[in-house]
Amino acid sequence: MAEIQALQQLEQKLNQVILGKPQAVRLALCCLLSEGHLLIEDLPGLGKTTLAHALALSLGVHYKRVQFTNDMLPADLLGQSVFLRDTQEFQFRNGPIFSQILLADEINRASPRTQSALLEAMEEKQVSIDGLSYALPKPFFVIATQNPLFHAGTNALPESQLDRFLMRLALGFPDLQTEKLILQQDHGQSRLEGLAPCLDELQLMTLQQQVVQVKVSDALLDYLLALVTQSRQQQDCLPLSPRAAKALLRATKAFALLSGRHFATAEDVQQVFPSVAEHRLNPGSSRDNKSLSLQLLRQVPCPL
Amino acid sequence: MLNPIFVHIALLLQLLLLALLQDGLSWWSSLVLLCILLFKYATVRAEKTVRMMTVNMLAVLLCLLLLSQLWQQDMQDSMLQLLFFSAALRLFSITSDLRHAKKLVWVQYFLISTGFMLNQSLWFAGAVFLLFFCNLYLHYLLFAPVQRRQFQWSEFRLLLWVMPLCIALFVLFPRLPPLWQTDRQHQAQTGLADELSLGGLERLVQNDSLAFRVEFEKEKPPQQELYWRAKVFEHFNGQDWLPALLPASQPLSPQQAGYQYKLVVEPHFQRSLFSLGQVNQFQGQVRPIAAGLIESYQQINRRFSYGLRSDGEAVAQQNNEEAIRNLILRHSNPQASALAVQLKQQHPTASAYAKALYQYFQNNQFSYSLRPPVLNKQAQIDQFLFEHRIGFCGHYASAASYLFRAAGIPARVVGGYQGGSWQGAGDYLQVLQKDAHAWVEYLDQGRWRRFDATAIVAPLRLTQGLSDALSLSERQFLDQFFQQGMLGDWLQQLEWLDYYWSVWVLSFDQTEQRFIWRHLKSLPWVWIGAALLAFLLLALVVYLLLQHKAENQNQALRLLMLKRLKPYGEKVGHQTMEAYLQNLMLSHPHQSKALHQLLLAYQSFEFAEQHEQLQQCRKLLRQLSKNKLGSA
Repeated sequence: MAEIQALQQLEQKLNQVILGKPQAVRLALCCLLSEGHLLIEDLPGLGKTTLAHALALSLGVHYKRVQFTNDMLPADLLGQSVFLRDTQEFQFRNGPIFSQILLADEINRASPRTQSALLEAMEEKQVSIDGLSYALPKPFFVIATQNPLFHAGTNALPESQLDRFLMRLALGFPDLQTEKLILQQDHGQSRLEGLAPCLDELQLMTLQQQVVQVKVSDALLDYLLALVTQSRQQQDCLPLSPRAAKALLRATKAFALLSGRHFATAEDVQQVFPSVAEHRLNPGSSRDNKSLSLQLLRQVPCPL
Repeated sequence: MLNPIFVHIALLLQLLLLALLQDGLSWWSSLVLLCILLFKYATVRAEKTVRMMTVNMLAVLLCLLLLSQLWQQDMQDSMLQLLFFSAALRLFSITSDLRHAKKLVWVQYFLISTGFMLNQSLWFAGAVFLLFFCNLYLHYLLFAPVQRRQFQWSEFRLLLWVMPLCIALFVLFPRLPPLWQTDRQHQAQTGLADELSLGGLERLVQNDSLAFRVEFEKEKPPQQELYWRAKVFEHFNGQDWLPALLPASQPLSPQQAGYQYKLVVEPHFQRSLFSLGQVNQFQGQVRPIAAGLIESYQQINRRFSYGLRSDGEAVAQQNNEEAIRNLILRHSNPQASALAVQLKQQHPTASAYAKALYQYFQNNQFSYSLRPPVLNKQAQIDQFLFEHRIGFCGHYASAASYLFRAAGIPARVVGGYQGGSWQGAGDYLQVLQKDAHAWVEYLDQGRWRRFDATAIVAPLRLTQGLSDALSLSERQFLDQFFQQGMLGDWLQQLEWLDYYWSVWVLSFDQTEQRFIWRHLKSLPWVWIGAALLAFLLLALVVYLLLQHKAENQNQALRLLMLKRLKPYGEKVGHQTMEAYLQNLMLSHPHQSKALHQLLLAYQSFEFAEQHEQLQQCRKLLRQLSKNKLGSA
């Protein structure tokens, strides 16, 4: 139980940094707990990077940040073999990907080649260079941010790669009161300073274990499947794959745990569904658009 | 939404019904119905509708027409026509609204069942069942989704499941006597007429329809003993024999010996029934009457079955009056009277006199014919005995009876059937109308002995049936009427099926049922088996119920929640229970504590599968629903 308390404390602290976005914070944590990768997509200046930073900082794990640019090469991310004159041999120098949390800022600015190098590593949890495989550390969690696609000089992530992200979040504008508070509390120093880690590596792993053990009733599973099946009968969206169904289940479980429960409810499914499903249903959509997933939720009756 | 093929099938059904119920419909109503159905078909094809005003006018007109015909036809037929008219006209009012279609289906169920009032044969029953299933399909169409036109296998299986239940109900459900009797007085009587003229049976002998069928329990009597008595004629007016005015029922002397048999009689619209010799036991809705005859309480207007036991003896004399009545001779046939006196002097006892009469018929070249010469009005017996000597059983019976009476021996003519043919490998005897026969009974030592002159003149008539007793030309004459052997064996097989249909199904009544119960009760293993079966069934039901309950507890709770919380506000289909309860908490702040508790209990029950929370949920729901009622 200590882990869950720590988790709730962590959530509280994050909410002090990211003001007025408790749902986004909870979903981001949920993504982390279910060992999936997170894509944050929004306009510049809405706090994407802050959220990513806050998450990384408060977790007390090894993290690195990479700012993606269009001239970036895969080697810049993965690392490369360097010839050492002393020993007359090559030595592999780890790239920034060898970290527990990787902040991939503005991922859609990189070339498709670099993007796929990252996404491959995300899926396989290892890097292969010069015929040698290097395992990535555990836990391995990528938080990518991306600017909306209508901004110049971006390369959109293809559908298949979007699917690698468990969730896509949008932060959106804060409401007026929150924004006022942000302005009032702006004392010239970053909110991130003084954010101490609340969870250690072991606790995080334990929590991730507990997510797997969250109870899901048969009827709830039926409801989840009904949602997935409904998406396959729709004309105007891509069908949800079994991988998506698995992702949905895992996110649901994590969300339940975040609420301090060891059983998942239908409400959990509905809460995580837009974030898990929308980018799979409608890869072209951007930002805060959740219309398709919400439409699906409305179509499927929920007896639970 | 009504399936578009509904109207077509209903039309087809009614057309078939129209053909099937012909017996109960008058010619004009058949014609009207046919026109209505064809008109409906035309409107359906042209996709037009008929104004209800027109249909209602037509209905009123038809009712008036029926009313005006009411005096000329049977009440039952009028009602049948009324029902049919209403069903046919109902076709016009069918719209996409299911209301009228439902009514039509129910009326058709009734209409189809009325078929059984007209005919009870197996073929008719088959046709009725076919139409019944057709109607069942219509019923199915009312409720099945529009795309699903075919019966699914699961639905067939349901029908099969119901079958044992139907059979059990048929056998075990107490059978009630009919609540009312339908009386079809306007039907012509068939079978033996109420009077017997000298050549009177000719008409019957040319008719090969079924009269009745008999099944003997154990022992079968020999063919020449099969004299089925139906009517006794005591009054002779010179040409015709008229039936005795018989007094009411006579008690029987119960004896255990003799033949036991069961008869299934075809409707002949009379009350007289058939029996062999002296009857000493009977079963069914029948009663014994004088002269050893049996009659039913009602006119036989549908297949009727009863059981008898006869001891194979001649019928006993009942009283002196009977003897005196049967000596009366009103019309003189001088030659015959002289012959009787002469023979009587030579043979004083009745049995000797009967033998002498047999001798007389044998030695004087009498012959048997279906086309005897026409007799004059006067002294017909003399003409037959001394001029033509050609006759049919009516002639012989009439003459012999006269000769007995003229000699001072009481005698009477008996009408009925002789013989019959064994069917289904000798399982039962089939007696046709052409087996009609007349013979004489004379009184000898307190018993009415049988005297059948035909047995002497045409002995084959008794042992092998009518056609063998006739000459070749006469046989050809008969063959015009019965095309024997044309349809071969399978027709006989069908007859056989029809017989068992009437024995096992139609004649299954209260007495049979009581008999089955009595029989079952006397067997201990039946009781043990029934108890065991009942126990197993009960255990199965309990098991299924428990399983069902476990499976559906969640479902039941959800439904209960929706029902009890409805007064607070409705749940939207896609809303989760949690969101719903949260909403209610906001809109009903004073109940929010109970609602919150309910939410927690429900979640633990539904998602964490803590079954003990069910009681808590129910308690909270009761409380909430009471609170709402109180506040309302």
